[in-house]
Amino acid sequence: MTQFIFKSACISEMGSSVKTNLKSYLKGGWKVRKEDILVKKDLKALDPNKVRLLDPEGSGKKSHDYENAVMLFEYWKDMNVTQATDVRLWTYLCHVPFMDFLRKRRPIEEIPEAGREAHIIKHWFVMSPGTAAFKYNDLYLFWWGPYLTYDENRKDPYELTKELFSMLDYTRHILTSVQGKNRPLAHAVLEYVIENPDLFEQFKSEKVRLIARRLNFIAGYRTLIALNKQEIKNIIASFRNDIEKEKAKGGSENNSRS
Amino acid sequence: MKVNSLDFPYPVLCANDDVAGSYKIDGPYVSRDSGKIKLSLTHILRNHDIQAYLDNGSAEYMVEVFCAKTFFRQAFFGSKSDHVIEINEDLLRDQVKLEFYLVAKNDIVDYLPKTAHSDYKGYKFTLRKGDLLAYAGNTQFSAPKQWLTGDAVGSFMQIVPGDFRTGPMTINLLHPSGKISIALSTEDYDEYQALQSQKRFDDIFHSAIVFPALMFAVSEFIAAPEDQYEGYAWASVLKDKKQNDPRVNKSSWAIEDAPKIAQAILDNPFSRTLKAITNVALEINE
Repeated sequence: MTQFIFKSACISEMGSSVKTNLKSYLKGGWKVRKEDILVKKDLKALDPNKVRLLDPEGSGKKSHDYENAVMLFEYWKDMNVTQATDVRLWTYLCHVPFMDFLRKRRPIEEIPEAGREAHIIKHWFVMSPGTAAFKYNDLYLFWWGPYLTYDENRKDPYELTKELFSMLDYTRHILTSVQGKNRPLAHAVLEYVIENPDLFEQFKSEKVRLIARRLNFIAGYRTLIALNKQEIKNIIASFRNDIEKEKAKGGSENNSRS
Repeated sequence: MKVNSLDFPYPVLCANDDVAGSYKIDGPYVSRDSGKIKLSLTHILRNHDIQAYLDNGSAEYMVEVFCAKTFFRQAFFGSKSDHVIEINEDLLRDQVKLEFYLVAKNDIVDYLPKTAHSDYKGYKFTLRKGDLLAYAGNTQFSAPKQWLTGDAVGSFMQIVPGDFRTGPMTINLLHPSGKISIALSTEDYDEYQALQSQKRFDDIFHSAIVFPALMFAVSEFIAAPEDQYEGYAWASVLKDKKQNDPRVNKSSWAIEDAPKIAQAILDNPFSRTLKAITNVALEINE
């Protein structure tokens, strides 16, 4: 029960001195000052032997976000939401135990110099819990993604999580939208895609975007939050013909996470 | 659902003149107890036609609770005008938005309230589950601010049975509820429970249980690094008192001030205890 976290004042200082500390982000090895650290006594300490996040690999730099998310969430499954919205924890994890992982996952040297500061703020810091953190901070997403999609009633409780991490549209747009924060709706979309593999074999992201648009439109006059998962799946099924017809209108065919 | 423009394809009772009558909310009154946030409110519906749908089970009240920081978005339903909602305290953080609706519970055919605007004359509508019949607007509350405003001891401290039969009480400042959690031995707790319903003993318990726990918490609050206890309700209360409570905001908040600060926050518990004991003694003598 002795997980280290940064002090709030330290995070503010770090956020405003990213440029000065750019070398540490490029080369790794963040120097932690004793006076910047707090002991979070109510949270199990991270065991680096049990949470060994997998680096992106191969020439295409295939990420292992799904595997990493399950690993992190399994380790801290008993963390409560109050703890999981503590920005000091996530910023500490990004800078200390997982600094090297993040440097490989979000390579700074590939970003033009003018954009490096913003890139670091976006991916190494959690300034406020919520949507932006979920979209851009990998470690934050690794816990919150499984938390929002874990379903203990399924044979594989992480089946929806696996689908979530299969495509950037889910994490960047659908789960972070107002409608997507309705958990039965998010589960309905993921489950519908899993249950209809033939339908989504091609143009998956376009088809999922169509579902999101339609549900958003329907939510303009109907309280979808009043419906259960099956009822929302029935609504999606009612416009299956339109989903079938949806094709890419230029751009890439798929938008898998990388 | 986000009700921005109040335009629907059928008549909805809300702020405009689609349907005569009104639908308003009294409350919500927010309280906290045993790790739960409790929202108590009353739906005030003034429309006989829509009331009839509610009475025959075709419609129900719905309160949507939305907290952006914790991705909590859930609907709570009720058929009675008095509505109490309980949510685990740790599921909400900072701003929490509430929206109030009356929605179709089942499909409703030939829907047209008699009190609908004459523009709808001659039309009939079919409503499906989740369609809106009435909308009472929205409001929001802030979870930490509620802790700050709660002067009642129960807003930042709780007394619970420990997992030991006898022995001294223990004090936990890291309880998931965010409150100072005092665990009594089960024997003491049973006796405490039997007595605590009698308000005349409150002041005595303040001296015997609440005061030492609060003094310990104040000492920890002063000694610990600035945000060591950030997110804990009791620490938020003390932080607020340090800044705003005229009884203690002029104190230096040095570690040796802890006993004085705790006594000031509890309005001199020993004096109150003496009065309470005197009153009990007088009752016995009578």
